[in-house]
Amino acid sequence: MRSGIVAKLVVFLALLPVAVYGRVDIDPTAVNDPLTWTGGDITRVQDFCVQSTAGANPQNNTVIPYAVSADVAGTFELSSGAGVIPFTVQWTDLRTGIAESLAPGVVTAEDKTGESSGCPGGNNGRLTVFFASADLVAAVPGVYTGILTVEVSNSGGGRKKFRSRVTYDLTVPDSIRVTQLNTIPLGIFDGVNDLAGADSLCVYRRSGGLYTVVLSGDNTGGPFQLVNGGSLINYSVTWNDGNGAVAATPFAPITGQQNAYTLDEFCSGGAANNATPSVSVLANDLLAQATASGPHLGILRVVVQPE
Amino acid sequence: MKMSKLVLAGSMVGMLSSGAALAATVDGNLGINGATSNGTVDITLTVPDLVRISNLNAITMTDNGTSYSGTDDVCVYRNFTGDYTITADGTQVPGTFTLQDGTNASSILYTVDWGGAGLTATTASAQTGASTTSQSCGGGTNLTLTVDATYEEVSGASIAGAHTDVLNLVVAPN
Repeated sequence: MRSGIVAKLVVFLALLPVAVYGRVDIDPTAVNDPLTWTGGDITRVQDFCVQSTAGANPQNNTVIPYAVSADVAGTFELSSGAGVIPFTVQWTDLRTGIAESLAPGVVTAEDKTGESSGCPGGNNGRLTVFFASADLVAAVPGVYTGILTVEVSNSGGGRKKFRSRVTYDLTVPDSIRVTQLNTIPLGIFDGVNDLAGADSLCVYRRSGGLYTVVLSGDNTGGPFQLVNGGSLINYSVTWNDGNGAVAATPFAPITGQQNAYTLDEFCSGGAANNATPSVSVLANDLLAQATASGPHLGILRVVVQPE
Repeated sequence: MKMSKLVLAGSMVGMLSSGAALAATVDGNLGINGATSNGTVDITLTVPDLVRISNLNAITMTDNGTSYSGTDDVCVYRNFTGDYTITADGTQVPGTFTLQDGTNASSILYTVDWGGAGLTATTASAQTGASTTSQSCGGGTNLTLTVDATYEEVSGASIAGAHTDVLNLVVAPN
C-alpha cells in the first residue's frame, strides 16, 4: 500500500506543469522572402497569427495582450560580403490598426491584441519591413541576406515566448542612369560664325564599370537635325567621358566609356558631372539648309547602357 | 573701299521666347540589371532674318553729257525670300540727298536710283530680287546704285571744288 501511494504522488507532480494551458504562439514560424530591387523604396508585409492566451485555461480562449520584438542579430540590417543595407520594422496590431515602429531587439509593451488558438478572427499582427531607396541606391550590387527573428511574448502564465523567422534575400542589381541633362542653347545665328554648345551631365553606374552611350536625334532615322517645320539644319555631336571627345553617329554605340560616378545618381548635385555631349552647327550648313527664320529645335536622345 | 554690313533683323528676345515649344530636357530613368537609361537634351537655335548689303564703293560723279552722275554695282542678300526694303539718307543734310563743299557753304542736291527705282530720302522702298543663296552674291553684284545731279543743280553751287556726301543705305527684311 505504501508503495502504491508513493507512485500516485509521482504521477501527480509530473502532470502539474501541463495543467497550465495558456501560451503564446506565432504562425507562420518560418518565411522566405526573396526579392530583387527594381528601383524606389521596398516595403514588405507579412501577416501573422499570434495566439496569446492566459494560463489555467484548458480551452485556450482567454485571450490576453502580447508583446513583440524583432531583430537580425541585434540589428535591422541585411548583409553581403560587401556591406549592409539597413531597414526599418513596424508592427501593426490588425485589431486596433495601431502601428508601432520597432527598435532592434527591444520588446514592446504587452499591449498588442492577441487571438485564441488558430486565430479564428484571422491574422492579428502585421510585420512591415521598409528599405529606403537611398540606402538601396548606395548599396554595392550583390545579394543581401538576413534572418529577421520575430518574437512574441506574454505574461499569461503559460509558454512565455515564441519565435518566427523571416529570411530575406535581397538582390541589388547593378544600375545605371544619365542625369543632370540640360538644354543646350546654341543662341542666335549671326549669319557668319559657326555655333556650338555643350552640356556637362552625369552618368551614374553603381558598380563603376564601363558603359556604352548611344546618341540619336528625334526625327525618323535619328539624324542630328534642328527643326522648324520643314526647315532642317544638320548638327554634329561629340561625346566626351573625360578621356577625349568622340564623334557620334546616330544610333552607333560608343563603347568603353569610363568614369561613371558610383556614389549617387546625380553626381553630387552636378558637382561631379563626368560626361559632356557637345553639338555644333556649321554656318555654311545653316545658310544652305535653313528655309525659315525663327527657333529651330532638336532633341538629342542619350541612352547609356552598362557593359 | 568695299563696305558691307550684315544685319540680324527682328526682335531677338521675341524670337527666342515665341518660337516652337521645347520638348523639355529630361533626365534618364534608372536602368536596373542591364537595362538602359534614356534621357533627352533639347537643343535650340534661332535663325534670324538676315540681310546684307555689300560690295559698296565710293562713287565719283562725272559729267555724262546731260548731268553729273555715278554708279556703283552692289550686292544685296536676304535669306529665304529675297524681299527687302531699302532706305537711303544723306549725311550732310539729313533728310535730303545733298552734296556740300568742305565749308558746307555750297550745296548741290542729287537723286538716288536703286536698280531703277527712285528713292526718297528716309523713305523705305520695298524691293525684291536679293540674293538668297550667297551673302556676297557669289563675288558679284545684283543691283546698280546710281546717283545723279542735274546741270542746273551743279551750276547752282556757290563755291567751286569738290562737293561730297555720305549716303547711308539701310536694308531690312520685308
